[in-house]
Amino acid sequence: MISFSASMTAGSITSVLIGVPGDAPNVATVLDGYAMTKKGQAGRALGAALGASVVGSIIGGLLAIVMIPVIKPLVLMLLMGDYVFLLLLGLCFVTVLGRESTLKGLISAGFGIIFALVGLQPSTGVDRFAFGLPFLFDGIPFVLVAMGLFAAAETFEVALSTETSKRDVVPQAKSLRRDMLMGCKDIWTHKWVSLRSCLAGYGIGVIPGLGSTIAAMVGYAVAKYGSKHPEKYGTGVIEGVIGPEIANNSTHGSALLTTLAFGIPHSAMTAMLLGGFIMVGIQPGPNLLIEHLSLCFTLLWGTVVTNIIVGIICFLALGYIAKMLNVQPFYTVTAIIVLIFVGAYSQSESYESILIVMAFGAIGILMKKFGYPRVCLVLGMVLGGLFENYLYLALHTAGPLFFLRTTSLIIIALIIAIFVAKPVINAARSRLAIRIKS
Amino acid sequence: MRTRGSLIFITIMVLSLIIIIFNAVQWTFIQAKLLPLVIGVLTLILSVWQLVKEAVTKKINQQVDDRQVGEIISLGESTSFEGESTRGWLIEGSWVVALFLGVYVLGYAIGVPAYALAYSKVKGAKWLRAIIWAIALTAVCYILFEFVLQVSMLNGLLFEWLELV
Repeated sequence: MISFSASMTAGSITSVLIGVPGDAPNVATVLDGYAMTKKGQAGRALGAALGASVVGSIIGGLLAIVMIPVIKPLVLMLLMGDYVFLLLLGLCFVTVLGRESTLKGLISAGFGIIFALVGLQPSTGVDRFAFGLPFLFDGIPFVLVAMGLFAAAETFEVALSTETSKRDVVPQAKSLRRDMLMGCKDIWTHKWVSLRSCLAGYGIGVIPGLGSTIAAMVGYAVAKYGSKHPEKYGTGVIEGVIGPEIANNSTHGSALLTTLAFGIPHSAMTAMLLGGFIMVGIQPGPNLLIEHLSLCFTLLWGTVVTNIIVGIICFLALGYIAKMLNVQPFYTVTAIIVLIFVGAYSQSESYESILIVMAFGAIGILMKKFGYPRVCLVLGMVLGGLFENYLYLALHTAGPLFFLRTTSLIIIALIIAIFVAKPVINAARSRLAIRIKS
Repeated sequence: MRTRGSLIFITIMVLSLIIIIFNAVQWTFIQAKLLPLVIGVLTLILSVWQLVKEAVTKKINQQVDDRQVGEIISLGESTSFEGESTRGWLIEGSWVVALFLGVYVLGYAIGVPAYALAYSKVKGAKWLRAIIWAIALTAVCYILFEFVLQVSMLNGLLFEWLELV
């Protein structure tokens, strides 16, 4: 979570310097950030982007911390049966509101749940899809799936790419820091734009599935359409850098809050965070906020502190960081592939772990190629086991009509509402994107 | 876009789901088979729907589907290995398989530097840089995993067979 948070802050560097977003949420920053670089204002744009990222994550994190006492009574109202539908709601949020096809998202989620069921069933000892292979009896380790689906697949794409990264983009160091400070001051100068975009981003972050990219786009739109000179956006306007950066970083707090309070992951990263909880024996879900409150606060403070540290590091060492853009891709590819192999082996000190990573790497590549959202598979895998546990507990404690409770029915109504709202949301997204593009 | 590859991919998924359901039906306990069956059948229905959709759609490019909306949102962000040749796929895939076989047969101490050296050299690095990179990468991984994380590294089948380790 912390590395994700850091990557989003540092991702603005390439957006500004070479017009290539370091991470998907930094896409909107390219529009004005890169235009500013072309006008010779790279330092100012970088200062504004990094400063806005830090401010956004601090405000988002603090808002989330303040919201915990408000959310806690809501969490205490939930029973086992509600958890079942809450997990379904989380799955639906991400599959339906995600940018890929809903049908493909649901198929991916279905496979994710099936992968989660691999191994010996705890109460009966039935071998479920392990096909007698001992290394699968305890289930497929989540960390191997995540490594294969994301790290291996992304590295493979870099390896396939013929583009070289050799670019001379490092600005002159002497004037850089002075310009960056000016960019930081711009955040205060445009404080109302910053605040509006920040709150918009925070609000988007509460809804799982919409993601930081949408938050950044909304942050940009809020800055643009609240401005007295919207026609200048895209030509190198400082508010066009501040708006998306402050918005995408303010989602960290709200996304983490939803994930921790209700066990509904916001994105692939928060799904992996839940997977990490399972690995260390912590049951994700509403109980997390009650039983592990200090951990929740640690994580929220962690994102805030990380962004401050990353902001300082980027400010002090930007020249060196930018030089990393000159590193040839094959160095990165060999390093990551070897680390994946050794990391997978270290999981259980067996070759089978490497084979699992390779298999999921291939699955990840094919899913990416054919437009099947990998995040839905990860989410299905994280939530699948929990879903089964809660379902049986609900059936045992409240019988087959466990869903006839007000809270359960409200959550079911929300699930239906998501499917109904999908076309409306898509239309709004298209309109927003077309307006920003134009 | 509909391609032969995407049709094959979804067909494999449909076949896998049939195997999954066929397996789950045979289990004795309802606790074990309830969820796999429910999820398997639902996913099968959705997969068949997707298969039919892909099979009958001639030019999906003309439709504004969810994916295109996503692409508009991401302002041209490439997400799908566009324009990569089959040869490129096979070559890069072979490198990964070669690394696995190298590590499996020769062990970590030989497999990893050999892979790093060969890959860097083929991709255009000069001999000296490739050698330094191979040694550095092996050393960093060795220090990180063997000393810091206390994970014993792979010895390799050949050395185990020759009883050298």
